[in-house]
Amino acid sequence: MSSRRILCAALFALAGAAPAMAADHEIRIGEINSYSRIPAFTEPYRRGWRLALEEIEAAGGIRGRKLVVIDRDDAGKPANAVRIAEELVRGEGVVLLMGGFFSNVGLALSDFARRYRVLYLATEPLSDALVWSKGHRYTFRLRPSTWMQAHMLAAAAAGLPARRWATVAPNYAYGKDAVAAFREILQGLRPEVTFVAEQWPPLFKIDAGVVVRALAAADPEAIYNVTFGSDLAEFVREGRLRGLFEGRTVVSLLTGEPEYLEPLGAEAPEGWIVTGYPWDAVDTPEHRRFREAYERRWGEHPYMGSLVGYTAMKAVAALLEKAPDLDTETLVDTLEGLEFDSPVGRIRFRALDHQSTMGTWVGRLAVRDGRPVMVDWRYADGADHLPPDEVVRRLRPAE
Amino acid sequence: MSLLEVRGLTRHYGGVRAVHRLSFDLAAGEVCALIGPNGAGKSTCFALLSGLERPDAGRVRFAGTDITGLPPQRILRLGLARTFQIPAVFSSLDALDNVRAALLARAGLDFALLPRRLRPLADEARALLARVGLEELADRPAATLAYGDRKRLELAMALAHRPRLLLLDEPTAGLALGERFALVDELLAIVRAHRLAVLFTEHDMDVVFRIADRVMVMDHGELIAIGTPAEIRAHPRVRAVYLRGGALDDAETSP
Amino acid sequence: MGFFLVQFLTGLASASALFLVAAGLTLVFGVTRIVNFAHGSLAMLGAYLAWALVGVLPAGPLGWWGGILVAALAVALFGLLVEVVVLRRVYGAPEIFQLATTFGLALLIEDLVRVLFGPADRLGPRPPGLAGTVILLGEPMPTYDLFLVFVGPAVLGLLWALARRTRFGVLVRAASEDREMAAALGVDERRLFSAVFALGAFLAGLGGALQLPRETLHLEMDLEVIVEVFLVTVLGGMGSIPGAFLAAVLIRELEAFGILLFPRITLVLAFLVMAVVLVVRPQGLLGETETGSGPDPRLLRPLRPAGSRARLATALLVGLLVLLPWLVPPYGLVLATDVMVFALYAASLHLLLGPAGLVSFGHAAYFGLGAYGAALAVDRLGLGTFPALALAVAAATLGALLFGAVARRLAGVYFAMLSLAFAAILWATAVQWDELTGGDDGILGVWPDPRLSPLVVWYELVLVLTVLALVLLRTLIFAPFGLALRAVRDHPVRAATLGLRPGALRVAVLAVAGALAGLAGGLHAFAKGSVFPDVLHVARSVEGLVAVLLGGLHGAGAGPVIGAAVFVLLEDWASRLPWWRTVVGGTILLVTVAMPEGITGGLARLAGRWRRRVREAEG
Ligand SMILES: Nc1ncnc2c1ncn2[C@@H]1O[C@H](COP(=O)(O)OP(=O)(O)OP(=O)(O)O)[C@@H](O)[C@H]1O
Ligand SMILES: [Mg+2]
Repeated sequence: MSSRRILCAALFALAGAAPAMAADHEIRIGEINSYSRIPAFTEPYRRGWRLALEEIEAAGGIRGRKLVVIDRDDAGKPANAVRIAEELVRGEGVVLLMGGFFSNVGLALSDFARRYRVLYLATEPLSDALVWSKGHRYTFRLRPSTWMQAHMLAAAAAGLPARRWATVAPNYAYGKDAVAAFREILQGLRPEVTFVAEQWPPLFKIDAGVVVRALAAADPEAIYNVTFGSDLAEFVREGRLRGLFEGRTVVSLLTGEPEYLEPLGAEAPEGWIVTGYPWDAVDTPEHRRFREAYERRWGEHPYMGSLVGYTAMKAVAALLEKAPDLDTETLVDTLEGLEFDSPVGRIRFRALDHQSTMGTWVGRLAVRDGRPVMVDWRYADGADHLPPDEVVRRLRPAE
Repeated sequence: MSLLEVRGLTRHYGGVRAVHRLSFDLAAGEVCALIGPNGAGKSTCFALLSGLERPDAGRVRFAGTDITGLPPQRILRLGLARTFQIPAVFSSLDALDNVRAALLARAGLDFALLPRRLRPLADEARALLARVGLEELADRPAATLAYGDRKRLELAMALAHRPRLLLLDEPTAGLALGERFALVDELLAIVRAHRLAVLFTEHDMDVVFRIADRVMVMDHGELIAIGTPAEIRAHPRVRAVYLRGGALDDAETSP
Repeated sequence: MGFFLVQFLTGLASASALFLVAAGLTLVFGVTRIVNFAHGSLAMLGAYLAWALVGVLPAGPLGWWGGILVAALAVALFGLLVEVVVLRRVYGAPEIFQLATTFGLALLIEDLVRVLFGPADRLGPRPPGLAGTVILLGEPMPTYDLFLVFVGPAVLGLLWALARRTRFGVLVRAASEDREMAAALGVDERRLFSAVFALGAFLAGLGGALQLPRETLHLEMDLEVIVEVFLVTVLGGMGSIPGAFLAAVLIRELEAFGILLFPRITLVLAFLVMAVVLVVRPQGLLGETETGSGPDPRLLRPLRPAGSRARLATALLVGLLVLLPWLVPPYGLVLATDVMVFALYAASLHLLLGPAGLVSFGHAAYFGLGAYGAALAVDRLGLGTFPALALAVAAATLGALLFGAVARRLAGVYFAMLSLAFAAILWATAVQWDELTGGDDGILGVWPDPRLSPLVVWYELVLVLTVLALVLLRTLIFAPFGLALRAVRDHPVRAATLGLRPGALRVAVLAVAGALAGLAGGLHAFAKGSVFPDVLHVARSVEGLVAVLLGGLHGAGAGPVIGAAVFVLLEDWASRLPWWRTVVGGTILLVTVAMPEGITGGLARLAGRWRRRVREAEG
């Protein structure tokens, strides 16, 4: 071991740590998402927030300052997300963090945010814990949570004759929350319902043939599905092939979102009751304006990811416009109760639990001209699918 | 009482009778050669005696203890050390550390965690190196030593445990003629000085007849003759095995 | 009854595709002795190629089957290219270099697939004519699965015929059974190796392509496949094709029926079976015993204690590191902490790879045990930082002792594969035993005690612990214990006949390495405030290997530290690039192929040359 060698290493170490600080004429925010792990959602998501960012830029920035987004890929790994968050906050000087797709990433970022007192706006992660059991001052969430979407679906499921139910969900935070919420709400509405089987395939590692066989063996009258992405595609294919869905109603989270629905093509299972996004049929003026702008900018129709990304960036812009300064505590105080306009209408971040009132669409799957679509849909406003305030207050730990 | 008692020692590999019903005795201080053509089972016999292989049948007693099937470490502790046909040294260590490594177990230091505990071993290691004529090469990595020096080094390592019986598997193979006899003479001096018993295999009949008190001949795993060098030379079966006796006659006529 | 029959056949169908890929790996291993980490990547490439080809070829049976076949052939061609350009250079190298080289290849291939086919998940169409189901004893069974049930045995039969009935087969068998003899028979080794590798790649590509209608293609397939395939080949016996078939069937049936009994431990089950089999039959179900490969020629230089200049330089560096908080911005300190934790991890691995000569391919096991030990101590037991760290060390040590007790007699590739399996079991446990570990959600809120939590304090603590641990490691290596280890590594048989106990020494060194890796894991948990199953993942094990190889295998501690620093900084920089895998993979290839002595070795060589030139200029 020679001294030269050691000095080389030391210099290398120092060089890697060069500071990068924000200039005064710009506001930096950090965006962390699973761009390489679930591009079907996150690529449209990125296009969504880019579109919003360009609109903000065109309107002269945030009170004359340029809004700069530093976006990073966490590859779907919470450990990566935490590392990147550390880098963005300590190295890049961002004023807030946003993003996250997987619930475990969201929860990890939320833990980081609490620890380092940084504002974190969870855009997609659906885990209830994020704003309830593990909620805290520094984390907010945009999308309707697992509980809210399960509530929307359970309301529909309660109207079905089925009493013997089975569930299939990926074995991580989101899947577990989604099943627990659905069971609780459905059994609350119909106490005679029983759950006869549950399958927990590891996320994105489903052995669909075997899972389908195991579900069929329990012979449920209806099935509640939480799998998505590649797991969903395999589950649907094997389930159809093996007749699992014949004579059974399936109630399924998120399956109506074009990012998951379109890959199924003509194999999409008709009749499933789903939450999703009928992008071509929603015809409010604010949504039409968003859809046209998006199609003009990117040459493709919007996906749910596009809508979430766009809305999230608009929320951030509304926050930064309104906040008197960029201190985290000020930002949090401002975001509590903040209202802003979005393609789905006016949304509010509840001061009570930091959950936004953004809703989603509930409908049935159908195949039209070989293309899967949502029919008989309605927009379910998030505000209508939340537990009473005193329940929420009990769910949230005391600060 | 003899130092080593071998009774019915047997080891088969599949259909090959590598060692078959081998029985012999060895007295303390005796120098005995084990000869036989390639594949006769000499190295396997050594592996059985030193605990590297378990016999299929038979018993071995060493210094009054039954050592059949004991692990090599236990057998060594009783005073039976060995060298290998292809010199087995620790290539990445220098010569001194090779001997120190050989001394570790005897000194009970093999799990010692402080570097300075190695220091007291240096003197003894150097003495052992000197005994085989390697003191000049103490700092040389074993991998860079000449073949003959590696054989010497191995001998020093085997001596580190102050054995009563040395098994030497072809101690002079691969050495040049002059070097061969130098090594044999040194060996003989050491053996006599410490009253060591030696069992060695050897293809060079000159070496065998020069130092062996007694010679054993193996063929196809079996012992076919035991006797003094003179008896062995005259033994008809041995002559037959050694291709018309050529090798034996050569040995007779060489200086 | 029908239910069980169909479940059984479904298991067989999955086994077929797995067997194809595994047969390729085991064939290549049998002949070239290379454990190809990129074999799963070849399967992935085959699957994506098939997806693309089936998409562009005219619909219909011809297009579909043509697409599958052409994809497999293309992978064979690609494999040939890889063999000629890269693998040829590492045939003689020790196992770890081969593993690292092929891991680098895996990273490159993943980026290649990403560029060619995009990052999105793909599900291929079903083959025309085999898209439906048939009813067996009243249960629906997909016809394609039924077809796959026959593919495995058919390929097994073809490979058998190839081995017994053709000249190529005779040569392959000769080369796998006795290399010297094959050489004596006048076998042209280069061409034979190339051909075998191409055949192995073909099988991988075919196995991947045939999964097209059953499995969604995604970019993490490569690692997923390779871990399963390792499992199958080791379980079946490295180099044994019938063994691979048997093991594939065993694993898949175990999963098919295990999911009915224990739906939540399917991942653990398979690895558990493998561990049990290896303990009873270290060479796998149908494998031949393998004598460990000889000592690594790159290590055949004596270690020398540091000279006074190096000591001075080290002291200066440590002094500089103590002052670092006042020299760099906070993020620099975060990075420096990462570097030190990783250096400790790499150094503990280096103790095994270098002085002890044990190819640990699952070192993440101890890192992860430490990380989870610390996290659970905080989360469940409410312990403070130091007791939690102690528990981290204890958990990892215990794990190492357990593994050592099982693996003490194994050598070479088998040791490597069992260590991989051990880490995989722990990883699967962490993923599936979510009541304890939180599963994929991990354990959050693992922050150090308030008085330790300011960044500067934490950094200095990590610095002190790391330096102490490294000093301890270095001391050990030069102590009698280290000498005994090196002796055992160089020649275990010789060591045993000199009274040293290779088994006990191995267990002891595993315990030490495990303890230090556990400490690194515990520090990591506190530094990040959270623990996820990725601390146990095979990628983490490989990262450690890469850091050690980057630094240089030879030496007594400086190498892994430098390697870790370079690796962490390289990764930190490269992870911002979309093609970071190419950067990291390329670096690995460069080091293993062009600079096998690592950075320390390479620099030492340059320094030697420079000194010589100076001397010549003076003289
Ligand atoms: N591990 C083994 N497995 C199978 N066969 C073996 C093994 N070891 C030795 N043999 C066989 O046993 C027989 C005896 O071999 P051994 O090495 O003991 O002979 P040797 O007398 O030492 O020969 P040489 O003079 O060539 O050293 C040979 O036929 C050999 O092939
Ligand atoms: Mg021999």
